[in-house]
Amino acid sequence: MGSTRLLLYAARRLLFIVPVMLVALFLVFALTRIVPGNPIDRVAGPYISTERRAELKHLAYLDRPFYEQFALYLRDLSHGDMGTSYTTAQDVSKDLRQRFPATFELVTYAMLFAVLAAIPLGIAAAIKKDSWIDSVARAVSVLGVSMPIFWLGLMLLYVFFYYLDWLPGPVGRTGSATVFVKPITGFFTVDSLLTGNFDLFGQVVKALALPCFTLGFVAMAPIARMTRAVMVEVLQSDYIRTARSLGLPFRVVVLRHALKNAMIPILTIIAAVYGYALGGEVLVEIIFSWPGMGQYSYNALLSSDFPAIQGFVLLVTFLYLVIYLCLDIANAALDPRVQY
Amino acid sequence: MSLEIEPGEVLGLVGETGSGKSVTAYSIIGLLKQPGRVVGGEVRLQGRDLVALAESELEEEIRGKEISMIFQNPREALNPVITVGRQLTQVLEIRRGMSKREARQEAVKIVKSVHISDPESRLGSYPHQLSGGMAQRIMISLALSCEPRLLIADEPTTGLDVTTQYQIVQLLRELRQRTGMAMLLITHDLALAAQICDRVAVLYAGRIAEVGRIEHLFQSPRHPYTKALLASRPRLGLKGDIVTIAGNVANLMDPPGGCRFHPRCPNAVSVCSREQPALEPMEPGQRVACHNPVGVRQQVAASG
Repeated sequence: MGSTRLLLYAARRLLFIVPVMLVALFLVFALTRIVPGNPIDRVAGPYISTERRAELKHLAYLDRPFYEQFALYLRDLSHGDMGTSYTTAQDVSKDLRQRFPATFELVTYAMLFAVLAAIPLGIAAAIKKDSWIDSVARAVSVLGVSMPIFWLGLMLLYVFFYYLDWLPGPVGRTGSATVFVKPITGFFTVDSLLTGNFDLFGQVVKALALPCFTLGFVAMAPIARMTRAVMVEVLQSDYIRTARSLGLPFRVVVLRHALKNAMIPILTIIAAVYGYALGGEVLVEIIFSWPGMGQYSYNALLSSDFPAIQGFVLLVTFLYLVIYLCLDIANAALDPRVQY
Repeated sequence: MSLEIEPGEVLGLVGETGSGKSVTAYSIIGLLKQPGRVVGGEVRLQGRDLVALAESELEEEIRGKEISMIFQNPREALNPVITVGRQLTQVLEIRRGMSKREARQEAVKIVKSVHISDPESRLGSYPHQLSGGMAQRIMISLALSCEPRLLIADEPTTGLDVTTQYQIVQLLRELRQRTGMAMLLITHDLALAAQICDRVAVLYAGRIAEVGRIEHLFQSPRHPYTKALLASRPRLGLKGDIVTIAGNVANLMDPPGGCRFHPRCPNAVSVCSREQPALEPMEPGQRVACHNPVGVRQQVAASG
């Protein structure tokens, strides 16, 4: 027991990330090369001489056998070199560094919204089964699961931007304020407050509102449903009856006894939804012209920008694994029955 | 049905699975599972009707402080993700208003009183790390933590191995001696009831068949159901098969008319299917609800 063992466990799990990332990388590497399309064709255009084309191919290692290409990529990667993007002509690592905060800010607030709304909603629905709040929870779940993310985003834009004109249109992170924000943390909500620019803060929040709600609402549905289902089950368990038989206040029974048990499966679904949000986020970024990694990867895919695609997948895989690592550590800390 | 328990008395509630023992117990402290509810009747605790109390009053004044419960399968009755020590100190802090320090000391004291060795380290355990007997001792500690007047024990030895069962029974007897609290023991096991109870109520399909001092019921059972229950006990030196009671427990959604036991009763006479027998005093001292009790012949002739 104890925190030392938990740390050791975390370290062991952290090591495990390396082979998983290698496998993921290999798969993407293979897939990008199997799929028709070639970055040289896009860069060079149709009127270039065959010699020049061959030269470009050679420079990009694309004339070599597949395994050599992969080995060379790994060699560069070990030096922190993710290659140069064909579309932006910048280092992929720099591209990603520039775009990551926009994505991370969006996903973080969306998940925060989803979790903070879904868990209380799920608990309330579980306590008051078949009441109006349960109906609300059910409606949210059904809508969130069945509504395509792009449709929801477009409808929200239609209502709140076009029709009501309360919120800015799909013009990126600062909404109608055309300013250059010098990133400090990369979170514009934080940066604008750090520089004391409350006007900008308001704009940033407004610009975040719709994309966050779109992504958050879709993420909320499975979390709310899971919370309700687990809480209903936990509230019927023997140890809840024990807690109540001792006269503990219902609030204590629900929040300290039931929720602590329910949190274990709830956290699992949050981690899964987080991963899903990283994917769904691409659509949201395109709809709202959000200058993040999602748009970047989308453009990279369209133009067969191999290094950019690989870099994006590498980063997302890493994030995903970190999320699951956090989940496992949280589970080990929450559930004394977990062996680690 | 109607039952009374005197202060310091141990009453057994005996019956088959599905006879309504646990439901009776849970309705006393208002913890019936949905969709169950108490539709009528009263539960009086020193003249105060518990059924009429609001949920908040039950929670604040009755549960734990006046009446507490212990359960079968004690390991499942304890919260798996909270240390048993914390479960205990939490009750002491919230229900008895103790500080963390006081609660800690009191917890050690209570746990010692139920004969748990090495209380300090036990309190740091989680339920899955405890044996069944140890978990039941912790459960008993929880139930005793607010010094209730009445302890309801719902099959407290079910799911424990035989030696542990014996130890728990010993502990319950000792607690009764020491604290003088009343106890309602719910069990299907007449032998267990005989070890701790002063009086026993035999329940059949939600109604009392027979109630009286344990020695009266054992020596001269009057209700055919009590007799059958006694005959179906496994005993040392028993030759041949254990006698079972034919048929199944009555369906409580659609109970048989008259005496609910009559379809299974060897003594049944025609009046049994028509009229519900009242609980009447009978020799040597118990009260019995039967038209044609065991060992009383004249009623057979009377009703043909």
